[in-house]
Amino acid sequence: MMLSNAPQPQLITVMPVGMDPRKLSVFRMAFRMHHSHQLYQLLDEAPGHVPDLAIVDVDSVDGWNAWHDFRASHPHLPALIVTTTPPRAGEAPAAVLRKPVRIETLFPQMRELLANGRTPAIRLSATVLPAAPAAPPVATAPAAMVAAPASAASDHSAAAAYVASVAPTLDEVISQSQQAHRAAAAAQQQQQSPAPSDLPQLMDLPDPVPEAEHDTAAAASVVRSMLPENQSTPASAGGKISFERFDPSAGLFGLVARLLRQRTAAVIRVREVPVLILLPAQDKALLLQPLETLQPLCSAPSHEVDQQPYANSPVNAAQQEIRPQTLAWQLAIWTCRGRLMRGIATDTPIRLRYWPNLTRLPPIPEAMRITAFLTRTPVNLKLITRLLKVPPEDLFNYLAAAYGIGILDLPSRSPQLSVISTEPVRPGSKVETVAAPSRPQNTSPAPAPSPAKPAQGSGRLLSRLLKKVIGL
Amino acid sequence: MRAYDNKIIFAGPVGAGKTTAIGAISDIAPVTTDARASDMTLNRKDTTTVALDYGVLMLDENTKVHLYGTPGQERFDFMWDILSQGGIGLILLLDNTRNNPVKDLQFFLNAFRDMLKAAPLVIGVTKTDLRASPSIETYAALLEKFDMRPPIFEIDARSREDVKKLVLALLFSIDPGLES
Ligand SMILES: Nc1nc2c(ncn2[C@@H]2O[C@H](COP(=O)(O)OP(=O)(O)OP(=O)(O)O)[C@@H](O)[C@H]2O)c(=O)[nH]1
Ligand SMILES: [Mg+2]
Repeated sequence: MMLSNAPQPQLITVMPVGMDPRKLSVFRMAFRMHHSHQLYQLLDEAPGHVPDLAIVDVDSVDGWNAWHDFRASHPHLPALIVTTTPPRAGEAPAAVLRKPVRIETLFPQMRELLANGRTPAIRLSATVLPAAPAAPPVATAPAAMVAAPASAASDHSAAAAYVASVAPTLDEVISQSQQAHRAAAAAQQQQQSPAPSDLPQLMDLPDPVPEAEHDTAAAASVVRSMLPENQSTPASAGGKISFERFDPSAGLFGLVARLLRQRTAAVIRVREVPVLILLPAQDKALLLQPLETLQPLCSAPSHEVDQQPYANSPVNAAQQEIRPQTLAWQLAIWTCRGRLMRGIATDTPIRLRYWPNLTRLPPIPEAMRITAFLTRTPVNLKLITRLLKVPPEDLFNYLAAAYGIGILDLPSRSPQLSVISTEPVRPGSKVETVAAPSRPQNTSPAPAPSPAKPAQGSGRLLSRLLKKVIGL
Repeated sequence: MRAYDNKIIFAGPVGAGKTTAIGAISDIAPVTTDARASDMTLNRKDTTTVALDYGVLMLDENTKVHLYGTPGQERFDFMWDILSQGGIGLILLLDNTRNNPVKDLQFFLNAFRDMLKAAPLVIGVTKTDLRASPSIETYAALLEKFDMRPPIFEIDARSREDVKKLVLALLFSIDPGLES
């Protein structure tokens, strides 16, 4: 075991109370993103650790009972209350953060709580902020689809509350980029004629950006951050990361993806030999030779691949039928081979329009996890790799495949767009303290740590269920 | 705090494959309350679920995840509310051979709207081997218009692998960073 000579960060264990797994996951992600001299972890992930503080959500079905039960069992543990409806100033039994919880206030509040020790500071700073604008109903809020016009207004606020409760922190981190992303996407959509049918309409790739030095360097550092810690590959040991890209508009894959997106029927030839017929409107492709034989053809240069109009081509070879999505997905994997497609920079916000039909597509490791993350909200490579520990080649293959079937939603030609992906909390960032009552200064000695309760465990239940289901 | 409800709900119209899907992954022989369909429904099926289906995933001898199938027929919809309180999430199965499966989708999203405010949704479309359209992309693009992006897959309810994927998608929807 190698010891780093960097100063050891302080490890802080946070006990969550009143939270279901989705709320837990939001805090878990926020903690993972936070890099400072303090590292935060949830008690679930560190059973047996003594918690340093608690975050109590009083919006679960138990309401404030969650707080009372917690206080009864942990009389001295510093605690922060999170809620959408904070009590009036002075009436809260502990510091309150109003939802949606903002990363900019969460970490300073926790630090302050720890610094103040056991007497919880009565502080409602966050609650007197102007109410945050309701989060746009993203995620899977069902309210919009149900047929109940009478309650539309309450549905909307329910959806907003739902979103806020599911993803308060993460939402906050990316909301800026999300809005910018939406604006860019909307502008883009206006320029395009509507898709004639239900087949995914794919945005054109941004103009190939000449890769500036710094981009390559940033990309290399992303790749480095994706490597398992302490693993020193020969490349990284030399300080040089080989970082490969490929052009998703080139070759067999590029042509298939483009024809699919344009919904153009065509016979596709490689070196003048017809290999397949694409019939997007009929939602099928006909293979003129076994699928596997297309793999080596994926490296054929663009000038060896061409198309002919379908109607003019008599075809009498044996034909195997395949869905065009399956074809494009497979060709993407064979073409990409773990490289990052051009058009995606480390700061490009990426989002999936919807889930691919993963039960019927050739497998890509970690596809579920990646999809679940990328359908939530636009995120960039830095954020993805920081929050999901997915090997880069799997991630890159996935992105290429998603591009191939037209579900990769990239803002185009908006170089100013960027996702906030740097440390969300800057040292010395100012906490809003408008009209905060002055806090009683606490000088009492550090509290005797409360005995750790067994991890309350819903997160662990899901982990165990995951293990179980994988093993079925 | 209240114990987290260790249950997954399977819902969907008559014949979508709820009973079959639970049987495909349950550790116990599923407990079903199927009755002869003749006196219950005009449907082409032999049997239909009248109260609920029940299966279990055993995590250890003390910890179970309960799998509940709701009855497809609307006349038993009182069971839907009873079963859908709490829960890890909702797996909605749609039968592609029914008259208007898109309408079924809307109907069930509405019926389970309260549960869906707090729990994730996963959709499995069955019997695509018998009828290929609407395609998964059609459903997904429709949902996207409402800013909904739930996992939605073609499945065969008789395939354990397929049903497994629905549950995995449910878990990763809750937490993409979940580790086993
Ligand atoms: N061909 C085909 N048959 C399927 C598929 N999925 C399920 N089935 C069959 O569909 C039939 C109906 O399944 P059930 O599990 O009884 O449906 P259910 O949803 O429980 O129906 P109710 O209890 O009446 O609401 C069974 O015979 C299954 O074997 C599929 O993908 N393809
Ligand atoms: Mg049944």
